[in-house]
Amino acid sequence: MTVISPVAADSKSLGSLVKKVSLVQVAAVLVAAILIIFGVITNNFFTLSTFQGILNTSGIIAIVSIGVTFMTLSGNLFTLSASVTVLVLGQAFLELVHLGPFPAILIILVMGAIIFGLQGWLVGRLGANVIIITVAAGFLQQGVAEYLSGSNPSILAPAGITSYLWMRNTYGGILFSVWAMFGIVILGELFLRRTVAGRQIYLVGENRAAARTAGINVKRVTIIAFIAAGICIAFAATLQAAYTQNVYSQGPYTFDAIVAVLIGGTSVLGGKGSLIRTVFGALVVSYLSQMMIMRGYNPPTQIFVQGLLLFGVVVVMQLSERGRN
Amino acid sequence: MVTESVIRAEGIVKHYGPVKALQGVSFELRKGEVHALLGHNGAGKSTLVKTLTGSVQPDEGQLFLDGEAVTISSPHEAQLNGISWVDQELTLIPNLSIEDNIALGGMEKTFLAQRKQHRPRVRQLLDQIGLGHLSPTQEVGTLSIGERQLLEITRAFGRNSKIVILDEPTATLSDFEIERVFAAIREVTAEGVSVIYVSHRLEEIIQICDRATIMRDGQVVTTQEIAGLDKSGLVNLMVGQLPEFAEVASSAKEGGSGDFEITNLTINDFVRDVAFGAKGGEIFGLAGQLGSGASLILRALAGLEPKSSGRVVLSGKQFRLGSTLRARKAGVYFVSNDRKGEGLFLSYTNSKNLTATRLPILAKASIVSRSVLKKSAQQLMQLSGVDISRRKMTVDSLSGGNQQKIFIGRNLNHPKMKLLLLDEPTRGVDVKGRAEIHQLIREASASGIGVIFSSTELDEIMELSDTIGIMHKGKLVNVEARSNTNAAKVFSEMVRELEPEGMKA
Repeated sequence: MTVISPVAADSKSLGSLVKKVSLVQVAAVLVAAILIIFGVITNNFFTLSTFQGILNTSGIIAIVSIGVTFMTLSGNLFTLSASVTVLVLGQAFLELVHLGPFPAILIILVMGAIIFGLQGWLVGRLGANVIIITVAAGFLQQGVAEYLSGSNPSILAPAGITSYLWMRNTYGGILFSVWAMFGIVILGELFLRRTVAGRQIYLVGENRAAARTAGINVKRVTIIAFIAAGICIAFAATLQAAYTQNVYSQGPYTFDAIVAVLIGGTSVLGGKGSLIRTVFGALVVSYLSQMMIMRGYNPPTQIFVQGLLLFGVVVVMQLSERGRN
Repeated sequence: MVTESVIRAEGIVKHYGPVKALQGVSFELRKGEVHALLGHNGAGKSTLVKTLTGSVQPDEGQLFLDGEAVTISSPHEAQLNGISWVDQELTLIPNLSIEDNIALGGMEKTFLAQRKQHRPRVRQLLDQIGLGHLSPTQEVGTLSIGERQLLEITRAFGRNSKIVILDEPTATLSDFEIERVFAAIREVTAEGVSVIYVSHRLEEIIQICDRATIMRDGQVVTTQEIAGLDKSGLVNLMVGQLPEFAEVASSAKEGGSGDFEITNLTINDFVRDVAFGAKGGEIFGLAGQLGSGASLILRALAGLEPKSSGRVVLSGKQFRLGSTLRARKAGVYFVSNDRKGEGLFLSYTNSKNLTATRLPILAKASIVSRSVLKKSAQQLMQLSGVDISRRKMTVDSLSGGNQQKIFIGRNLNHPKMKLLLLDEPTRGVDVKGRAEIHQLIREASASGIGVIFSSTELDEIMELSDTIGIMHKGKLVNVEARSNTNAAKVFSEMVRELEPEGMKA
């Protein structure tokens, strides 16, 4: 059952560190306990199909969240236009897919890298505020997309092209997007832990002034973190477009990704956290909404409970990081 | 009446972690006197002042106010007891008027409601300090730094205080303004107020003070009447008990990779036209008071000061200032005086910190292997002299001295380093840690790189330098080999008090 708990990573150390149990650990165990208890008292919740559902609804959101985590780790909060980018690049993917799935995916990934790389350049080079830049970039992307599509709000999958439909299939009951998410986590973690740039993302996030003073190229590291985010979000866009076959409105990605990153326990200030944690965060959110749907809660209640959880996480993290910086 | 004591401290002991800031200090302030508190940085003056003003609680010892044993548990309580402190940092609020600032600091409840009654009092205070030309309603933000300092002083005098502590009150003042401060001091002391005067300016101390207490290494050396003492007498008291420093052989190497030559160095229009150089393997000490520009020079060389210019040649190659990346590329490594803000990654392990800045060197094709990282971290841990079993502990769990060792250790044995800059390398470090850090720096230097460090502490300058450069108000006033000079001479040049008239800026 620990699979669904965000504390799985910490639970090993709990026994040996009883004396040093932190607020974060207590809160995490508490949340896990509540989730499990409610799962148990919900009829038919602990079934294979429920968990397939939880996984299958979280794959694309988790990939967007992984992207955002790169930014958060580098000390640059979040993007507030992830949904717009997923929409615009999803539409672009459907327009380009006649080139064949792999060329189309490649072009979209490059576009994502460029869109985010430019935002990273503005933030890293000019010291611009990340919130303002990502909001402005969102409007720009929307404007360009509407201009190019002649204000056509809905882009449909081209009829007769089937070469990319494997992207929306399930394999062993699990959607391709979920398998892709696992692949991205492994690659992303390897990048963060084993490459110079990946480790420097952590250093810059932990103490930007120290990184700069030590001669680390903070601007370059910031841009790399943004590009990594852009590639993940672009890939999520292709999966989303392939899955729905009709891209016409923004999904909930911007805020869902922030929720997943925070619930996963990655520090808002940067420097601490991981992609795996974010995946746990995304799974917890998915678990929660699945459970509430099965208990018959209406959407406002679902949103309220999600908000409550996020609020609790933010308060706990703020308390545990008090004194830092 | 002259000997009536208003505040007395007995046997005050204060430790900051392992650092003994005060070691059994006794001090007495008499009614109506101006009492100088002297000693170079780190001597314990500010800790003593903070104890008297309630912002620091002593570990041992007792305070007496008017002969009665008291505990002063907060600055607010100190004020209620008639103790005012004018810090070096200005505490005025820029967008409030002069009169409101004066009312704010005071204990009187006249704010807003009794503003009109308050105003004549404000005029009187302004007149007293020579600010009579200002209107009480003028915003403080429109005043010059000097005027603000005067306002700060007169506000303290206006609080019906019994004791006023002035910390470097004249640092930002012109000669004329200093005269006004002295006149005000004479006026209030004639009324029975006592003043503690903390300053490095020996001339002023001789002019205005009645007695002086001289501190060194957290202890009181002596308390003496000023009458009959001259500047060199004071200097001798301050540095007279310096231990003999063992001559450490310089490891200067001809044509070493760390040779450097700096010319025309100008920073922020404050440091002007500074020029010096040294050979690899030599330790160059930049001595200077706080704000002398010594630390600024190191920051500029590290690329941290955008408004800096000058010609810097390191190991035969010139590099342009103004970028940390260019400095790093040229082989310059910098140990900031702010190890928490600009140095360490506090919540990361010692291992991670030690390897943090050499990842590109340890990597092959941008990939870093765990075993290489581990090996490098262990080696650096050993070099820096921190117990290797602490490898996986976070840096913020270490003492200040060990943190500093990790910070310096990070730069040791670095194949690309040619010049190591250390800004106040042992600030906040205990005596043992300090000796070990000095040893680390000597070892680094012995490998043939250039080393420049800055320090406000005379002992450190004398112990560590092969060559000493003395900074004063943005100018490099003297450069001399350690073997050709002595502590008293360096100290006088640092405070620039024994120079002939006209040399003062």
